[in-house]
Amino acid sequence: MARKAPPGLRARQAAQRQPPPGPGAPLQAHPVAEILDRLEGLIGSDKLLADLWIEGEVRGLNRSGAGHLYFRLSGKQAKKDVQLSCAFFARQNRGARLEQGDQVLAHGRIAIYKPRGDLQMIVDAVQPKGTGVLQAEYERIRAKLEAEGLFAPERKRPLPQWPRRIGVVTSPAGAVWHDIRNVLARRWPLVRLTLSPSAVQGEEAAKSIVEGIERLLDLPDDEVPDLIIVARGGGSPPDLQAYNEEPVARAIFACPIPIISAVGHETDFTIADRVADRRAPTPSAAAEIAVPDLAEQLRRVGSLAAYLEQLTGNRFEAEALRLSALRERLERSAPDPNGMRVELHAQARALERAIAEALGGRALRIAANRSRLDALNPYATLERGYALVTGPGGGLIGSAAQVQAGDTLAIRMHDGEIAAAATAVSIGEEASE
Amino acid sequence: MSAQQPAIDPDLSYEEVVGRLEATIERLEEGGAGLDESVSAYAEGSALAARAQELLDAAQLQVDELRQE
Repeated sequence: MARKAPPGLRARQAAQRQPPPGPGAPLQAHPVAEILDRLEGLIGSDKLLADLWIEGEVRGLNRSGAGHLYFRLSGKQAKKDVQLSCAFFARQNRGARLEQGDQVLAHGRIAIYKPRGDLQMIVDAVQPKGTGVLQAEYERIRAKLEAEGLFAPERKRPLPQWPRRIGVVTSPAGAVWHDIRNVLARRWPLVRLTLSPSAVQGEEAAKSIVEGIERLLDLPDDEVPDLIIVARGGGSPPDLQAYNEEPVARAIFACPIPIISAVGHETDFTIADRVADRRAPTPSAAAEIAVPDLAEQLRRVGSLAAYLEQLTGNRFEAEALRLSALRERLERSAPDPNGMRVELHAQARALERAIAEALGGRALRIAANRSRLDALNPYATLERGYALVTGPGGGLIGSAAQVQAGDTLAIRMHDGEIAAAATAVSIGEEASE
Repeated sequence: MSAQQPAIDPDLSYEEVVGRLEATIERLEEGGAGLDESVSAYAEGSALAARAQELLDAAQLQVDELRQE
């Protein structure tokens, strides 16, 4: 709101203004350490100098007693030799074969060695020149992660046999996502699929892939997938580079959920493929590996059902055979045919009853229903002395109001019928008595 | 052989349904079960098989897409 700066602020701003550097600046002698620190700071602030490959010829190679290798990387500038000191320490140089005069690619960082004020490269990997820097970087990361045990077969986890949720880290555009979805829809539509979109090439791709994996892990507990597919279609080696980068490998390694990696074509073998719990030659193959096969499961359920029928059928057949064998034995060995027959019948009935009961009590229920039906049968009631009266039209008479004096009636008893005529009708008298 | 079909918990996954079906069959295979038990095992087994079949027949792939920040 204030249009004018308060006077105090203006004064402070004036005081902060430094005199311009130049002949007018006061001379000052700096300690050596301060300048080395300053150089160290400048070098340290440069991202490239912290992680780079340099190509050159090996000169002045020297192996120390402790196993450290010291040499100079030599190149040309305006027909003159230019050189950079290199230190390749024992811890990193194991297995490295380095000869005087070798043309190499060396990886490492630039540093100041303060005791001597030397500028040098701290080397952590060397590849013969001609490898190509992508290949050299691949080999470097591979060797490093292998030494750390990231590819160890014993840390590969088994994939879930029946995944319920599968997360896919890939580009939402393009054939890969489409293919994976199609394969899963055909092969195992019982699964729930979650796409976590990522870039699949370019400078930001590695970061984006890592974020894609993390996004799946950050889902609410019941939505976290039980299997993740990290996928990308085919491309040139630079296109696939993100899948060879260390952060992607570390994210796959750290992921608590099994990961299938499917990057590029069958012949491409990325670092991600090596770290993943399982490598698939293509994204479609990853989807195939991830789930059971619907057609196979349908056959399985069918044959289990058939087997169940057969087992149960066998059981009842065996029971029937046992019963008839018992009957036969009894018939044959009965000293008193009549007495034994009675007992046999009793046993047979008991067995039949057991089977009938076992079959859901169906037979018994039928018998019970039958006696309930009998109770409702009006003819059974006639047995007890009641009668049925039908009117002139043959309809059943259920009430005195249905009859008029002079009507011809038929009275049905249990043992015959009586033809009768109504002489008079009085309603309610009987009932009110 | 008809007995009442026991109801199968609709929340069971396909894997669980088939697991139970197999366990039921194993029980029958072992023998030694009474007739009653065999019949109820059969009834449960056939209900499980029907449910498994139903799950496979009815399944439709569900797809979600997360947002990329």
